[in-house]
Amino acid sequence: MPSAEAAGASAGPSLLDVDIGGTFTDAFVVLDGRRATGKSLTTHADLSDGMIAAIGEAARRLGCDPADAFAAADAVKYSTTVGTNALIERTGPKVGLITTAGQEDTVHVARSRSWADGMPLEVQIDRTRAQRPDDLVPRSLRVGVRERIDCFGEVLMPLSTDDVLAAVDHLVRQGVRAIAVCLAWSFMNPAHERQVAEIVRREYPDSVLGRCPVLLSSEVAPRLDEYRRSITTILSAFLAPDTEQHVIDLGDRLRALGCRKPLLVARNIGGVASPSRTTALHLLGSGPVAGLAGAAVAARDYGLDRVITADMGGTSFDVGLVIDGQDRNYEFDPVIDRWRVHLPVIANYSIGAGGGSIAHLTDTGELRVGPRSAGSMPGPACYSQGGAEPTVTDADVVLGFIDPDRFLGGAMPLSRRRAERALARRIADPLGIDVAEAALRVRRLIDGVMGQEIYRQTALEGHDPRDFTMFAFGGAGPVHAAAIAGYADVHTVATFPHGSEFNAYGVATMGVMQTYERTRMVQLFDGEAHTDETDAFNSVVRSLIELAERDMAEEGFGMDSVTLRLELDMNYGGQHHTVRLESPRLLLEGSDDAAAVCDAFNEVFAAAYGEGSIHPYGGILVQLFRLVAGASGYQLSGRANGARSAAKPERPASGADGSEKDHRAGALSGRGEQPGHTVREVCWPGAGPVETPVYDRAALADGFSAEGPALMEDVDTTVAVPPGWTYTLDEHRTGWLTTEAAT
Amino acid sequence: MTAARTLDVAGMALDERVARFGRPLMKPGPGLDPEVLHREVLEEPTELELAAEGRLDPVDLEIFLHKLDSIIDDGRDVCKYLSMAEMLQAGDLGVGIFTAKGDLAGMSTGVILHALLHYGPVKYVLKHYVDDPTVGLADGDIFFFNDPDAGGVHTYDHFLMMPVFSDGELLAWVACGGHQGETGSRSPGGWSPEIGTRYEEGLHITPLRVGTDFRFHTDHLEFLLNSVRTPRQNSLDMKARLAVCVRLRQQLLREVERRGAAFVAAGLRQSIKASAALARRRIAGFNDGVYRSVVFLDTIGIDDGLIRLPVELHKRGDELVIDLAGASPEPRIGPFHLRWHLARAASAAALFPTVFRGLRWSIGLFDPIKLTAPPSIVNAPSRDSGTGSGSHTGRVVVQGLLLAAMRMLHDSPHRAGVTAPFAENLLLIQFGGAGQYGNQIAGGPANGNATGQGARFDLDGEHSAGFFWAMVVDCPGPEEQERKFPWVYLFRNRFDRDVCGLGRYRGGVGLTDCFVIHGTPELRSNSVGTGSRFTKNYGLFGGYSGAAQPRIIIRGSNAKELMAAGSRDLPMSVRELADRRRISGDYAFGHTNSEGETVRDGDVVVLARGCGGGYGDVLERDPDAVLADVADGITSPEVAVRLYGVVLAAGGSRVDAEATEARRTEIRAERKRQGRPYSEFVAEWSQRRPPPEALRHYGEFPAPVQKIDDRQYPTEPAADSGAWHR
Repeated sequence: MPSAEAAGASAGPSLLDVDIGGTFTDAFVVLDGRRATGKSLTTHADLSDGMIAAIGEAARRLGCDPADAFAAADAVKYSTTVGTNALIERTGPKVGLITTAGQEDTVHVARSRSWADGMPLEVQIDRTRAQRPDDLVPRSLRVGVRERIDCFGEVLMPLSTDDVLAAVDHLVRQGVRAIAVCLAWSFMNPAHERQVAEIVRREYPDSVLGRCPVLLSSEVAPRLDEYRRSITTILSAFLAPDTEQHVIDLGDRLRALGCRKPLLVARNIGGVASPSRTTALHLLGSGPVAGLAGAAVAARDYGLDRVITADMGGTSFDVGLVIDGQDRNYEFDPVIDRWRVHLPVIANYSIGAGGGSIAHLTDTGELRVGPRSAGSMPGPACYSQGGAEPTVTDADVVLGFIDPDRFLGGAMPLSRRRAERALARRIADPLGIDVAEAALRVRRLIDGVMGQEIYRQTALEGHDPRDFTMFAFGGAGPVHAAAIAGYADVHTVATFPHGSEFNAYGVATMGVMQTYERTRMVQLFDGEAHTDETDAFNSVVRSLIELAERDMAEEGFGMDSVTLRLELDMNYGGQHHTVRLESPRLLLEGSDDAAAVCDAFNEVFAAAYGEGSIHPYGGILVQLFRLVAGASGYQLSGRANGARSAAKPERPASGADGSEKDHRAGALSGRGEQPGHTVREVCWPGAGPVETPVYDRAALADGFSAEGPALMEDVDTTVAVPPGWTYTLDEHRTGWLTTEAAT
Repeated sequence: MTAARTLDVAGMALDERVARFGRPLMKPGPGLDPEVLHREVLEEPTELELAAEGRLDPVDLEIFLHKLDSIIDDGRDVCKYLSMAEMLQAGDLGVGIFTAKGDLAGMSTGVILHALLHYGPVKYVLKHYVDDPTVGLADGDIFFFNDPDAGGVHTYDHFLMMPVFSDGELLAWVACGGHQGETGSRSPGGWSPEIGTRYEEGLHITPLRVGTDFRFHTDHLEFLLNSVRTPRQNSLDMKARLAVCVRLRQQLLREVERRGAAFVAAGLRQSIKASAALARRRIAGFNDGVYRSVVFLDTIGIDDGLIRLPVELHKRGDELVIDLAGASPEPRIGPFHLRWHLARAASAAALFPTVFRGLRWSIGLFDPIKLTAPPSIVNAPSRDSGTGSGSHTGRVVVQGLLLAAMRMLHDSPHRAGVTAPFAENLLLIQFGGAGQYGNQIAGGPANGNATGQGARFDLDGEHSAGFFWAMVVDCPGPEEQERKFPWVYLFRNRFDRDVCGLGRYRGGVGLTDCFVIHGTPELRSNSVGTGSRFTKNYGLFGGYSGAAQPRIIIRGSNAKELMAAGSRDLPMSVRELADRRRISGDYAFGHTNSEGETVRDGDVVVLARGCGGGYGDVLERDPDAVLADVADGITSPEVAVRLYGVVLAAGGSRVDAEATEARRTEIRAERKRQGRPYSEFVAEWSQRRPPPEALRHYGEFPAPVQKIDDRQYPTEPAADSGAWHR
């Protein structure tokens, strides 16, 4: 696990891995097999300052001069959210769009309900107040050119060169600094888009226009649906300058510090890649995806095949899945900011719920918590920074879960009185209940809502939540984890030391990866027999392999060290929705192979939607091919060999049989006496006020175990162990919360 | 024997109208029992529900409802994902969870009507089949239904429902379905505006047990599939609905495992009671009064003709009474007859997003609402009248009720819900024939999901933003549709000019499709809608209405030749197409409704989806907003000057403030010159009369007279056993 302690020596790459978050920049450094973490405030003016500071701190903790660390590194990798600001504040360049004449308003229409995309549920159903975001490309910069290609890729109307020249001339006069091109059916036949690019290059060389990149939708997102394809292309153009400049500056800075090895960026589609093979869109949200990659490694370390990550911070609650050790579960219909895009984004769902979520009453007197947050300023009422609205943290203070004198290790004393007053004024008094009851309701409601989000991502995706272990991260996570798990129907929770640096650890575990997609409809089964379209199938796959070979060679990897995985988006004839399948065959050698793919598809479909939903009678089709090429190198594969444990660690299983209890008891007795603890009154949902033992987590011995109710306090968080739950600390400092039955 | 007594409805007190006409007026028939369609919104509690009543505190209930709604939304998504029909994929469907006695506890986004009607078939089964040894009810039973008279919507909307048992005790019901698009009617795709009676509308299935033990009966399934033109599509979509019902059931039972059956049963009941209480509290906050509007349909069957629908909304204490007295008579042609239960469900599209904005949707929101409709097109009493497209008349109820309700809402703390109606001049079309892949198609594009939104009291309407019947629905893009249907668009996602409702805030522009048939020799088509002559996209408080729009077909066109030649003569807007006529061929301009027409390879079809009405006086619109509309191509500079009174300068790049002020002063002066005393206006206006051919189905002009036989519509309807045919 991502312990910040130096952890034994082993061979392997020396890595400098960083996650640049909104508030903190975290580093995870591996030098000569030893590991350390470092932290710095994120420096928004120049992100590299915070990055270098965090690496420096980690290096020093390993007794290494930062300059030596930079010189010794085999790779520098990082995840970041840079670029998001350009989107939110619209500080990107002026982008023009060239599209098929007669369809100029496609990016505005956006499948009609775009006003709801990316918004919380209560906004999505409030149609009367619907408001679309301002267009990224206003109508005056969306220009149509006459051309038409049909659904078979046949040209029905040639591209009008005159229209292209006029369009570019108009856009240039309007001062655009990038041109996105999205023509109908270009993913089937990109000829017209390429012609547009060629005309621009020929007629407007850089010497005339300055740098004005032309992005083709058939290259950026070669998939059906002109809205998502256009937006993906436009966003790539919009975000590129900020991101590119940032990467160039960072590369220069690292070279000046003596770093001569590759700079690699983590991507929201998984893995890391060199900046030259990454578009700006790939960086958005790459931090949580890195965290998920780290969770996948930790899951493999612990032999867990079903893990759900739950990260509860101040304002948001993020949920991701690791299935069979794989974090590659794609978001079904990804939305970036307020636009749907064509990107195989690794699923990481976020709702507005956190410690800062504000509790309030509706005009009809119903209690609601969030999605509005008090943020860090003014923050919860108990922060005494002017916040008057009660938050989840205020409820936690009132109920005794958070010790106001030990918050952040005592660095930030909290006011219980202000928390009580806010709850009284806004909740308790209007409802005619006492403050403790109000606080309990706030806590139960937020736990229920968060648990429900996990339930949604597991049970409603065809899994049984009881098979899952929850990894709880974030400052507010462990305080609520067990209660959330109860509502989610999850019975085991893992809490980690230094969980806030998990994303940086995740970056360390990410290897070089490239993803290639091609939209082609290939029928493998016609309703009666397997078809002979294997040539069409293989031809697409081979073309993708060629791309992988080219790119991986440029990254310095031969194909012998590259793993190829073919993913197919498939459906039954007539369906629009597709289901992703990891293909059991890379290439098809005959109808047996086609049958194997179809069988696997039926199986995956039945698992997701039930046996009764499979429908081979309608035909089985591949709609999209996705080749994922991964190369090992520049990455951690899990715990360092010869680190704390020589043997494969095992998690303490939940359950009622005697052997497990004996195991835990044995662990305790083997570690000597019960450590000292204090006691304070905590008001537990369902149990009321209980004198509860409070342990200093840092002082607990490996193997320590306690039955709830109990609290485990640490500098950055508190683990709440409700009645009916057991807490066990393993030798990797992972705290396990288990229960026999969720309530 | 009591002598017949003829009563004039107009002279009746409101409460008497409610007593006589506050229920479906059709006669019972096989599988059809009007009594179950107008029961109280919440039946007496079951023992299971009582066992846990009071054990759910507000937080328990909130979390339970959160879960219930998640399960329902998931069901809706799964139905979209698994289905083949275009409209289902676009989300034109409904999913609901009901109490053991059939009261709707939770409903999905999607089409508002669907789940709100399915209490009908559930309650019919409970009343008539459970104790019938030839039918009965058991865990794993699957019921199909589509008859609008039984609690479906259109005949071409297909649904499944399933009971949920827990330990042998009936706990709940689940239901799912939506616009299937093909139902074996006389023309492909379902809507047949030319019909004379319901017997030409294809399948009319009242609740029919088509499966047991969670599996379809092969014989029933094959009967249904053999009755339609698209067995492959319908069979896949049947499986999709079954998968959803099974999934909903599993999730409910998992909650039973966790919380107990009594908790779940009480939670379902509690959710309805909570909605009912909140609805009453909301209504109590509005001003008492009577709020009125009058709206019109301009087609009936495939005829032109006006249909009148006045709406009176009576607000009394914490109750609303919707009075539809004075509507045009039952025309007994075409499929547009409405029944009471569908009229009530339609009222949700007007009230739920506005008057009840922010409240959770369930049948409980109908608790404080009464709806009365004397025999007419909106509460048709004849059994054989076509009701397959009754919701088209339901749309007029929505528009009229919304306009009336906005007058109530405006002077209230809930003004944020005030909006001009979404465009409803829908022109919906269905096609049947061979697709471009050699496949069989029967259905239509879901572009009605991209109509213009009405202006709000403080905001413009959004362009192409949705569908008035539905929440959160998609409009597929041109490529997706060109893959499903054999055509290519000449233009589609390009907004027309000067068609949206003007006002202080303007309405949103809807999509206009113009496509060329391509990849098939010919298709047969039906279309329905309204608003080709008389717009139904009303403005609010002085705002202009969204434009009327015709249906245009160019037969024998040279459009494909022009495309191949890269010609600049191809139009890019309806105005250009109609005014310049650069495409050769036979131009046919018609109203919305047609049946059995043939379009051939190369023919051009134009369908417009309607634009939202405006809000408030045009002269109060911010001149800079007018400038932006001109720049976006949705308002012409001529209209800016003529109607908005906004004068642009510098080639249209800025507002000439001085000239604008002068122009607006001039317009105001002109208005004053046109002003007359009200009585003078009425005297002149009353002399006007539409041409006789427009009044064929209207009833007496100006206000249809409704006289009834006292004995036929008693205030105390006789109890009906529903067993008359057995």
